[in-house]
Amino acid sequence: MKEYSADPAAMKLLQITVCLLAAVLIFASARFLYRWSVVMWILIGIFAVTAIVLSFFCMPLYFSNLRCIITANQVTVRTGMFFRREQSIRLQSVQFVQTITGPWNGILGLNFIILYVYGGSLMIFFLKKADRQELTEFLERKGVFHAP
Amino acid sequence: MHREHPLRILKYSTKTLWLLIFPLIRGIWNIFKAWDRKQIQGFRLSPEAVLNWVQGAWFDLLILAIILGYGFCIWFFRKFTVEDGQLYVQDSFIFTRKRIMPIKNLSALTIEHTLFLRPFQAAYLYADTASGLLNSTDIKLLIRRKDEPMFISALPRLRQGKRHHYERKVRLWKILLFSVIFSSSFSGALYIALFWFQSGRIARDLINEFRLTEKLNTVSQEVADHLEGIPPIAVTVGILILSSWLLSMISNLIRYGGFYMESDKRQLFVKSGLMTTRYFYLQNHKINFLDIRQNLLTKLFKIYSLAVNCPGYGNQRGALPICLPILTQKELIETMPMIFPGSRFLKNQLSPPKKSWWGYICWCIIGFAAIYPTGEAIEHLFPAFQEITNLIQITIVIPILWKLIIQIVSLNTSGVNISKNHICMRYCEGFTFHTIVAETDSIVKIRIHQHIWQKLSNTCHLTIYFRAETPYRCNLYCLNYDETRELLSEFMTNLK
Repeated sequence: MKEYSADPAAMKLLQITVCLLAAVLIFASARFLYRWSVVMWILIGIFAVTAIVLSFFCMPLYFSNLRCIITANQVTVRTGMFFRREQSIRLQSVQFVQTITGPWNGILGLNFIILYVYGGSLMIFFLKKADRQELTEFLERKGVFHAP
Repeated sequence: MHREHPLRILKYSTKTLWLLIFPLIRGIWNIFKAWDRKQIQGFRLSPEAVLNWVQGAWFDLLILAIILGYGFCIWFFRKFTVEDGQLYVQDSFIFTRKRIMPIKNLSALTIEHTLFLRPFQAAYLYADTASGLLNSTDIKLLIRRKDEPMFISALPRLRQGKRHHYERKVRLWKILLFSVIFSSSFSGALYIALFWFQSGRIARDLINEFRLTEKLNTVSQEVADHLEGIPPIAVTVGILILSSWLLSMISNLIRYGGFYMESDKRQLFVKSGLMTTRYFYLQNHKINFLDIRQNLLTKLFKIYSLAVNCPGYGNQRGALPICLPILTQKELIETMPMIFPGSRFLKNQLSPPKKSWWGYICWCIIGFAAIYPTGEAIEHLFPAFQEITNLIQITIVIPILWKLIIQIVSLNTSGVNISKNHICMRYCEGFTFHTIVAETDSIVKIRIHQHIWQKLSNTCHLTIYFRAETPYRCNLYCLNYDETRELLSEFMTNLK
């Protein structure tokens, strides 16, 4: 059995993206809505609070709870902030596999593996680059697929 | 590695069409600027504003180049191949996405030669496994025709020889019969609605151009004059129902024309379509169950239509997953084990008792009894609509009577048999009779439903859910409760 956790780099990237987006929206509100100061301040407040809550509260909590547990014939993904959710699939029921790698060969932690099974799919999120390689090698060893 | 057909660039470009909003914003900005300078008076553009617009065309061209460039990049970086018994698709534009599908897990591979793609030597390819939900296609590619053999050669070859091989070409008259039987006004109306909404203004222009509304009114009036006593509105409704049925029949004829089927007990190959030719390669072990369909007339003449439930087959809108469109009873009994070894046509072990006839026909009788008083009430409240109310009454009576006969037949034919890991279930849904033949492994859920008054008569309703991409359930009504529990004891916990 081996446990994989989410890449902290991916969390930092998402935090920066959310903060930048909020900054752009705040700037746009200040630039275009200065005539309606009440609306402008309400919107600026909403954007700022959302960015802070998302970046510094929700994301760390979500990423700290994100786990992928691999056993000899099973994959389990545990997610959730306030409510825990665990999804497990048997490797023998996997029909096909999809891997998604972010820019620069997934160095920023944007690595995902999706396992398609009967009746649905299971996504393994925000893996480290080394973990992604290790997991794909494991799946290949198990005969789920083999990369050409 | 191979690339998709270049025509795909256009499809990918449509994803960035929203960028056209920027030239639009620029145009509006110019108009407002001109307005501020009082160049626009009474919504008339000044020559200077138009000149400004033309001078800025480079910006529009740039946006257009970005849209097409994005489409080109997606196309350029999407590659596919079939290697080591796997279908491999890679998209490497910004994010690298690799999809690896072992051929042994494929349930259906479909190659579609649409009419408008033929001149470009292009074809659609759909690869489906049993994974996923709601009949979604796993991999869809627009390939060059020259790449087709690469996919086909990766599939196991159909074994030849009398013991394994079975092939059948369905004659056109049989397809015509099948189209007549399985066409409905409802699906025809769906096609019309689809045409209406998708083609939008073109459809309305065509109707105006050919004065279809006026022609329909004239024909209705003329027919009504010949058939005295029938109002023109009734004739119009009749013409519309008949035309939508005819449309459905023609579309079925086009879809299933030239039907050819080949099987070697492991694999099934189906080719069909007059205008758009479709080639289906199905893996027999991925077929969830067989569905033998009949309507009242075909049941009377012992004619059957054999369909299969296989992920990826018959997913298209309005398509039926047909394996053999028209068969006689003898042909069905002969061919079924040849195509699907082990499949059995079993006699009913458990069927609804004859004394439960009321449970089968009650809704038809209630509906039938309600027509006359409802019609009378409407006529009383709205005397102006007397003719139309009478017409609607007659129109409703016919399907209710038809359904009543179907329910009586269903009472005598419905039932289920479970033996030696096989299930054979006969039931009726709507106006169609179904016989489901499957292995018991395909059963995913069983539900026994008993109303409070059914406790008194010791009867129940039985619902069996079968394995399929979209949940598939079969209902049997008014069965004996004890017998049902006994038959299904293997699948159910014995609760006290």
